[in-house]
Amino acid sequence: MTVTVTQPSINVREKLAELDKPTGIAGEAMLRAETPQEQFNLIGAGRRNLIINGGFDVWQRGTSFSTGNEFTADRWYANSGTSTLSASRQAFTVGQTEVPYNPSYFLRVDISGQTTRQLYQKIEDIRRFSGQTVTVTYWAKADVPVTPDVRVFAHYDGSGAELLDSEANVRIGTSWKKYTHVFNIKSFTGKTIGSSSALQLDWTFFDDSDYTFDIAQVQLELGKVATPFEHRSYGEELALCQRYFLQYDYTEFTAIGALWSGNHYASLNFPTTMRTSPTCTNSGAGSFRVFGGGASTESTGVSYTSISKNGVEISITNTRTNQAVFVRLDSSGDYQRFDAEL
Amino acid sequence: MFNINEDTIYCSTHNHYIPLDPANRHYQEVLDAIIEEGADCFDGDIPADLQAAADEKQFNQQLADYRVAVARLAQYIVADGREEVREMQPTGEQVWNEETMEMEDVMHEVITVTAIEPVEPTVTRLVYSEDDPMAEPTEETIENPLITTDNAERAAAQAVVDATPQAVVDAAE
Repeated sequence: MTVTVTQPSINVREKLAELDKPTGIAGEAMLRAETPQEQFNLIGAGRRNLIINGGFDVWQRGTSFSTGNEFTADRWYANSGTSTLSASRQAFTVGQTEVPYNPSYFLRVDISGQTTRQLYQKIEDIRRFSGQTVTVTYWAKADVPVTPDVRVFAHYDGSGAELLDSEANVRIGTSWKKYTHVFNIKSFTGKTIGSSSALQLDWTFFDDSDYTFDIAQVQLELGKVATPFEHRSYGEELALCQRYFLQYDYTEFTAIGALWSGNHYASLNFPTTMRTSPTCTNSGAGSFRVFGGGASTESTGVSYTSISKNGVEISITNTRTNQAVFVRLDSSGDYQRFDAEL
Repeated sequence: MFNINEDTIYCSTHNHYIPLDPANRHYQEVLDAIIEEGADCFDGDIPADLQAAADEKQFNQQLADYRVAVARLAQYIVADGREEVREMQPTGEQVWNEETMEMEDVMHEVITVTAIEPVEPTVTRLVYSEDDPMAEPTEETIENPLITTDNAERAAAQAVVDATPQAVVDAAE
């Protein structure tokens, strides 16, 4: 049997003309991508920055710190060892063009003396980094040239840290410049991963001099490609930070309390589920004012019970005998803090 | 100083109310304080469950340290080098043995551990005078720093092994 197949004719001139379309190198790469995931990666779509508050917009604890060994901007810890270290929020000049995308703030670390200092952020859940390459980008400058090491550590189960990779003696100059480092992370096969596991991105300063180090727009992303800094809204960034730390200042907290066994109890629900049951603290025994029966008194003791990821019961000792009261932070400078940091 | 306040641990030093949650970093600091200071860090008796958690944490830390130390001691001594080790291993092929009337593996010799030469026991270095920078340097012979480092690391690892409680050793083996 004979089968005859007929195909439409091809205009070779038209086909050749199609090759002249201005796709460019990036367009070519997109066309050559074999999977949607490859195309996704090429255009840097989706959530990329695994650093929280990399733009240094959120400062719940304050904007100036002088003791060291404390959190500064949200999620950023300054380790000063046996010495001290100052850190502060600094504002970019409106309209400056050295650092792109008009950021509002950067973090300044003020270091003096020889003791080794660290600035770091721990990224929750180390599993996702097993066997991966990560790319770190940031803008930095110093008032004199400094050479920190930039390192990544593994915290598998909350005890001890293992150095995974590092870039030693990074030369930070005196004007804003963008730095990019690529780190290779080994497989974590065989490791026991605990509930407080984390990847730590760390700047370690060994320089023997007095200097200030400024840093802005920190990004850590999976893969070998450094994409532009990912901007998130302040509200979104604040919510991400509040998973780890939550602070109520004066005028930001009121609650209804009920009398039970001599104390008034108020319940507080957190605005976001925290990473773990937080440590609770406040500015002192007299931090709350209790209103009831047409009068108010200052608390004489405050404690916390039934602490969970989602809320807490606050027990307030005071002299009011009303069954129902409302309570609030008493005056300027009073605060409540809930800390679930890594 | 810590004490128990209903279902939390109260730290009077920092006015912290700490939940009994292992994922909380301050809770882990309480366990560390119990491990290091014992009852001195607690106002009153340490609750049994908290003491048990501290004991378990210390046990796991000692176990991890012991395994790292044993692995370090198992490495070759750089001053001695390492001898080559060969083993007969099957190639994957089989041949018919007419005497035993069975298929037998074809064997070949494989190097399973490569040899490493010992490092030079000493090295010579030039020493320049601090008082007279223009003076000719003198030669000084010292122990090879690789050997010095190796010995120090082995000694530190051995100290960890020696200090490890028997119960931890038993768990590791």
